Amino acid sequence: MINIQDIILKVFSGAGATCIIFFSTIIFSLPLGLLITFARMSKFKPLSIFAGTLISILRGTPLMLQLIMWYFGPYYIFGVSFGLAWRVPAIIIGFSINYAAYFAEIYRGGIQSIPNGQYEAAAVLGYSKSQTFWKIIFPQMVKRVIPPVTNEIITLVKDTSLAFVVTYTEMFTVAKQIAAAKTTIVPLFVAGVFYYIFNYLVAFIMEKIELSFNYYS
Amino acid sequence: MKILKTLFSLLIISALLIACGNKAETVQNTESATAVPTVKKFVVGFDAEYPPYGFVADDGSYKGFDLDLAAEFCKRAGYEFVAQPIDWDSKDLELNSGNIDCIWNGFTVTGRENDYTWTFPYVDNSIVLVVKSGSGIEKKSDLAGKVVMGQAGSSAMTALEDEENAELTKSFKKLEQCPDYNSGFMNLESGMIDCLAVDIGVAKFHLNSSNGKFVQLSENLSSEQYAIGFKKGNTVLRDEVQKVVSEMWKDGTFLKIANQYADYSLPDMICLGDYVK
Amino acid sequence: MSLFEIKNCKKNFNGIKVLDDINIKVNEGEVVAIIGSSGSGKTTLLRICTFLEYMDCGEMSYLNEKIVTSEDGIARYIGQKELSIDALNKNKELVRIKSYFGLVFQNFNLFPHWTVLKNVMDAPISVQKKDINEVKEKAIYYLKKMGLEHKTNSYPCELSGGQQQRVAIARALCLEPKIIYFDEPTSALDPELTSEILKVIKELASEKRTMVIVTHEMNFARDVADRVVFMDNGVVVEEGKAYDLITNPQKERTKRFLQKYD
Repeated sequence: MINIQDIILKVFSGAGATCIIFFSTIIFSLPLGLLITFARMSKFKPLSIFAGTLISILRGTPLMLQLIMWYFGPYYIFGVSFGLAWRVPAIIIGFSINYAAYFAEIYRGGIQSIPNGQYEAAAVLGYSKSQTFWKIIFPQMVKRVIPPVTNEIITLVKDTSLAFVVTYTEMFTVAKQIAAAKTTIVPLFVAGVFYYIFNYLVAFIMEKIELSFNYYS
Repeated sequence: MKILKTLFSLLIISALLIACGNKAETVQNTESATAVPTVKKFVVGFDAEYPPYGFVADDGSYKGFDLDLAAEFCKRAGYEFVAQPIDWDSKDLELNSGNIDCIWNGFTVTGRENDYTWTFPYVDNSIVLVVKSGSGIEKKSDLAGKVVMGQAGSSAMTALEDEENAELTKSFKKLEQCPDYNSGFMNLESGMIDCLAVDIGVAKFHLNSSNGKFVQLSENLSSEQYAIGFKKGNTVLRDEVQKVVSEMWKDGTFLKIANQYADYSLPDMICLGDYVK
Repeated sequence: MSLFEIKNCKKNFNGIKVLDDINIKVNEGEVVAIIGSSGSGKTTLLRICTFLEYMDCGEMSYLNEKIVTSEDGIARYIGQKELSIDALNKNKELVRIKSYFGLVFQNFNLFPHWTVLKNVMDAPISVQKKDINEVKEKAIYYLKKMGLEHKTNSYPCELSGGQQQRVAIARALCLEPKIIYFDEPTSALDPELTSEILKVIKELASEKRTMVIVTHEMNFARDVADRVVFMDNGVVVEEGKAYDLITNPQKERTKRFLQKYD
C-alpha cells in the first residue's frame, strides 16, 4: 500500500525549489519589464529598436531554449564555467528576462491606454517628465495592467517545471520521479493539487490588489 | 489503378498462403517430433518474467529476444526448439539434472564466471562513469567531493542510489539528475558537473562521436554482462551454439533480431561484436 | 500692463495652415473671449499660448518677457534649439513661465487616482515647492469658493461634470496664475451644468482676474468679456469691445457666424 502522506511530503520537498524560481522571477521581472518598456518607448531610435528586437526574440523563442542558453551559454559561447553554482542564477535570469519581456508589453499597453489629456494637464501644471510618469501615469497604469499581469503570474507558476531542462529538480520533477519509482500516478496528482492551491492563492492575492485600486475608475 | 489492385490482392493471397504454410509446418513438426525421435531437442531454460529477454506476450505465448535467438539457432543447427520456463531459484538443479540444455535468458556472467560454461557475452548491461578528458579523475575514489550526475529514472540513477554504492555516493559533493543524456554530456562538457554515470551503450556512442572530449573510467559503477550458460564442462554444446551465434552475428541476423527490441534500447547494449572476430 | 502678447503667430500642420499671422494682446484685469466655428484655430492658439503646441513663426511674451522670438522668420523658444513638443516638455525655462498661467480643459483632465483636494494641492507642492500647510489652506479656500468644500475627499469619478470642472478651475487657481485660459469649458457639459460653470467664471471676472476664454456661448461672451476676438480659418477676422462686436459686427464673416447663434 502506498503511503499518501509519504508521497505528499516527498513531493512538497521539491516545492521550495519551485518557490525560489517563482518569487525571484516576480521580484526581478516586474521592475525589469518597466525598464524594457522605457527602452521600447524611448524617442532614441536605436534604443527602442533594440528593445523591440529583444522583446520579439524573448517572446518568439521557447523559454526552455532560453534557459538552456543562459545555463550553457557562458561555457559554449565564452568558454567560462562556473560549475553548478551558476544553475540557480541562470534559471532566475532566464525566467526573469523572459517574463520581463511579456510584462514590458503589458506595461506599454497600459501606458498607451492613458488619455493624452493626463499628460497635457500635467505639462500645463508644470510637472516634469519624471514627475508626470511616477505621480500621474504610473499609478493609473498599474491599475490597468493588473488583470493581464495576473495571467502571466499564473503561467509562471506552471512554467517553473521547465527548470528541470537545466537539471534543477523542482517539485514537478520530484513528482515525476516518485511516480516512476512507485509506478503510481498519485504523486503527479499531488503536484497538480499543489499548483492549483498555489495559483488559487495567486489569484486571490491579485484580486485583493485589484480591489484595492477600485476606489476610482 | 489496376496494377495496384492486382498487387494488393497478390499480397493478401501470399500472406494467407504463408500463414497456412506456417500452420502446416508446425503440425508437421510436432508430428515428426513424436514420430521420429531422432530430431534432437534443444531445451532452453528461461525466466518468463524478464522482458525483453523472455516474457509472456499478450497472446499468451512465450516471447523475447533470447527466445528468438535460440529459435534461430535451432533452425540453423537442426534442433527442435523447446522453450522451458523455469523457477529461477532452481535453475542449477534443472541444468545439472539435464532437464534443460542451457540458460539463455539475460543470464549475468559477472560473478558466476566459474560456475558455468559460458559463451561470449552478447549483452553488456554495465553502467560506466564518464569524465571530461584531463579532469584528473581516474578512479572511483577520485570522485570524492565531486558533482556526479545521472539521468532521472535511469538504471544508472538506480545503481547510484543502490545501497551497494552508498559509500561511493556519500563521498560525492552532490548527486544531480539530468532530463536526458545529451543534457548530461553537455553538463559534463561545460564543467557544471565532474562525472556522468551512464549505460555503457550510451557512453560508447558519445565517446566515439566526441573526439576525445570525454574519457570512461576503467572502473565501472556496476558491471553486468549477459551470456548463455551451460552446465559446467559442457563445452561441446557451448561451442556449437557459439559457432552458430557467431555466424548469426556475421550475417546480420543477430542485430536484426535485437532491433525488434529497440524499445528496450537493446541494440545499444549488444557487445557480441567485441568478441566475434 | 500687458500680461501676454503674441505677434505674427503662424502654425502649420502637415503643410496645412492652421494659424496665419495672429496678433493678440491681453492686458492685466482684462477678459478676452475668443469665438469662432470649430476648425477656426482657436483651440490651437490656446495650446500654443500654454506650450502644449509650438508655433512655427512669430513672437510671444509673458509679462513683457520674451519667450519666443523670431529668428530669420522662424520661431525660437527661449532655452531650446529645436521646435518640437518634446523639446517644449523638456524645456526647464518654460516651467517658470508656466506658473504665470493656468489652463482649464474642455474635458477637465483631472487626475482620477487622486482626491479632489490632492488634485488641487499637488502641483503647488510638487512643482512650485510651496509649504504644504499654506497650500492646503489655499486649496480649501478655492474649493469653498467653487462650492465644493464638502467634496475634498471625493474622487473625480464620484462628481458630476460641473463639479469636476469646478475642481479643475480650483486646481488652476491654486497655482495663483496671472492669467487663466479656458478652452471651451462648458462644451462637455449639459445646459444646466453649463450655467453653473459660467456663473463661476463670471464671479472670477468680477474679481478682475485676467482670463482668455474660448467659448461658443455668445451671450456669456457679450456679458462677461471686455473684448472679443472672432477667428475664422486661422486668422483674426474681427476684434473689438465685446458688446459692440456681438451686437453689431462690422465684417460680413462675423455677421454670418453670429447669425447661427440667434
